[in-house]
Amino acid sequence: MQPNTVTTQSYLTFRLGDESFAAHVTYVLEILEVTKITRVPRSPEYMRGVVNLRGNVLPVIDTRMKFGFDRIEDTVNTCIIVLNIESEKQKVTLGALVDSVQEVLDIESSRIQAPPTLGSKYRTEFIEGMVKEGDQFVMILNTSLVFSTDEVLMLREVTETNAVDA
Amino acid sequence: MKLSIKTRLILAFAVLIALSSAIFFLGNTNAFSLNEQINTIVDINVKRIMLASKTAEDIQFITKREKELIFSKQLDEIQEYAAVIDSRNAELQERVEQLRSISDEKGMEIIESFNAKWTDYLKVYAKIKSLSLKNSDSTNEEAYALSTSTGREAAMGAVGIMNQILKKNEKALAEARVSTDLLYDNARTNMLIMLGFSLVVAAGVAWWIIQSISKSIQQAKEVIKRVAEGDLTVEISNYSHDEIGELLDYLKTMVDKLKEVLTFISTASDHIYSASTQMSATSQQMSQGSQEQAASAEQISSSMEEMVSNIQQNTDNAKQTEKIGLKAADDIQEGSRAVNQTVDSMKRIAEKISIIGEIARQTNLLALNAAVEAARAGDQGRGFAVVAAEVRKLAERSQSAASEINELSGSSVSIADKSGRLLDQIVPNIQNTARLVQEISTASLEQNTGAEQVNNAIQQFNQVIQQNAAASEEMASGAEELASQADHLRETISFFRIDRNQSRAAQSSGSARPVKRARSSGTTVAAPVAPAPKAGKQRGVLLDMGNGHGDALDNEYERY
Repeated sequence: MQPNTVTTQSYLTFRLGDESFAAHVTYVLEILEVTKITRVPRSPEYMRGVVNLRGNVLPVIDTRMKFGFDRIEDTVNTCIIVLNIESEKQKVTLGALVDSVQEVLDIESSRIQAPPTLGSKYRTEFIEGMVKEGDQFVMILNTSLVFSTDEVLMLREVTETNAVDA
Repeated sequence: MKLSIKTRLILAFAVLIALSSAIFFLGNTNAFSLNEQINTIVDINVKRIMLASKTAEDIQFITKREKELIFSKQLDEIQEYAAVIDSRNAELQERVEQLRSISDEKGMEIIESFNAKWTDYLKVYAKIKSLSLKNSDSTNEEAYALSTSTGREAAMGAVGIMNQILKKNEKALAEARVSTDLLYDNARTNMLIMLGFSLVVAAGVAWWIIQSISKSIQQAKEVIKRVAEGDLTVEISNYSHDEIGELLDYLKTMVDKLKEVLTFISTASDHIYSASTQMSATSQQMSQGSQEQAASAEQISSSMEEMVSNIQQNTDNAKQTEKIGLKAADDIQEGSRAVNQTVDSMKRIAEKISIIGEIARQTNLLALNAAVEAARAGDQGRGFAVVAAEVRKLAERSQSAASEINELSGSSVSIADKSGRLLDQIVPNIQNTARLVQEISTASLEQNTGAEQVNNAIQQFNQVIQQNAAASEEMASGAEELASQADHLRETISFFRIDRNQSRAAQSSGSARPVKRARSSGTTVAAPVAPAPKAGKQRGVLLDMGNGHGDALDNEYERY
């Protein structure tokens, strides 16, 4: 994936509830304000709908739902992070709805610790590592793994059929 | 002797009646025998005498006619004489028969002899008669001879017999006289004896009755006299058992009752005396109290006056307060409007600030996107990343400042809003207050009149209190009068002497008080009209003031 150099990597940090998460900037295309989200019928629950991104249909996933958090109302700080996921099979562009976007952090590889193996409320394979930033931990997500499941693929199909219909 | 006066009188009169009856019986018996005697004399002896004398008369008549018959020449005259003689003879016969009927045995014999003589004469007369009827001188001479001889002899004999009867009866009369004299003497003697006896018995009985009754009455008189003098200690016993005794019995009951009543009256008058004295003191206290009350009422009255002026002031203040309240309401309405305007302004400011906040947020996003782009560019984008980070930080700061301002203005708005609301709420409250104050002012006016009424009432009250004071003083004097009356009553009762114990109790309670009062005359006690020493003059009351006998009893009374 990334060149195995012990250098600093850039991560975009965002919040879900009180927890901070980080995604590698290479996956991040841009950050959008929440505009009108069109709901898609017969879509899974974590699928918020689709938005128009400069003429393209962008499926939006409610990350809270995806991570098994409670759903909350959108605020002014709620943003959509446009991600570009490349797996072995194909390349997918999707939007991840998060509570707020924080900043772009440069993190040295040595600071990243391994994720805990037991007692975590997240599936640990989704978490690459943890880094202490200030007085709290930031969980670095394995972005391609989080958003490259079959469900996401299925989502793509759904959005594409809907796009055809639209 | 246990005989009542009634029984005694009945007994005495019975004895007297019995004696009288005996005397009457005696007299009656004598009178009866006298009557018997007189009847015998009148019915027999006197009648015999009358009949005998009549018969003698008849004989005289007949012999005379016989002579006339002899000497008569005319036949019819002879016939007439003969008839007269016959009728007279019949009368004679009748008389002789009557005489015979009332004759005793001796008389019968005499009458028989008369009848014989008379029959002889009648025979001679028959001859004479027949000779005369021949009416010749010879016959007449013969007849005359016959008449003067045999005829006269027979007639004389008959007359003599009649005279014999007369004499005999005269003798009987003389005897009767003697016997009646004797009878009379006996009777008189008996009667005199009886009378004497009766007199003695009557005198005895009378003396006995008078003695016994007068003794009883004497006893009763003694007792009643003592009771009349008021001495109820008199012993009523050993009296006789007659009606007077009964009378004394009742008197004893009466005296006992009287004693009880007097003891009661004495105690009651003592009580009345002490109670009335107490009442007098109480009434005086009451009078004093009433005067104090009057003073208090005056004070209350002046306080009320003060209160009235206070109320007046309150009314004025209330009116002023009402004006102020109304003005305040207007001012507050003005203030409320100003606050509302402020709120509007603040809201506008908040809107503008939120626009700034929005811009800052978008700037932040742009900066983030720039940072992401720079990061993706790697080392080439490093400088740009620094700029983007700076821009992001600035945007963040302005965003936070905007949100702070927004928050502040929000809270200001809410505060101003609240103030406005409160002011709006205050307005009706103040109006209400003004109205209430107006009501207070009206109420104060009413209160003013009420207070004046109260003042009037207090004046009346004061008058009543004055009257009460006067009345209680009158009552005090009345109580004193009552005390003196009770004292008087006690004196009056002391006329009666009761038993020693009772009387001493009564007297000590009756007399101790005046004495003490006399002793303490210098003290402050309002002694009622106290006729204290007068009691000593009353008869029947034995005041024992000198020696210490009464002290034990005196100690029962409070000394003041």
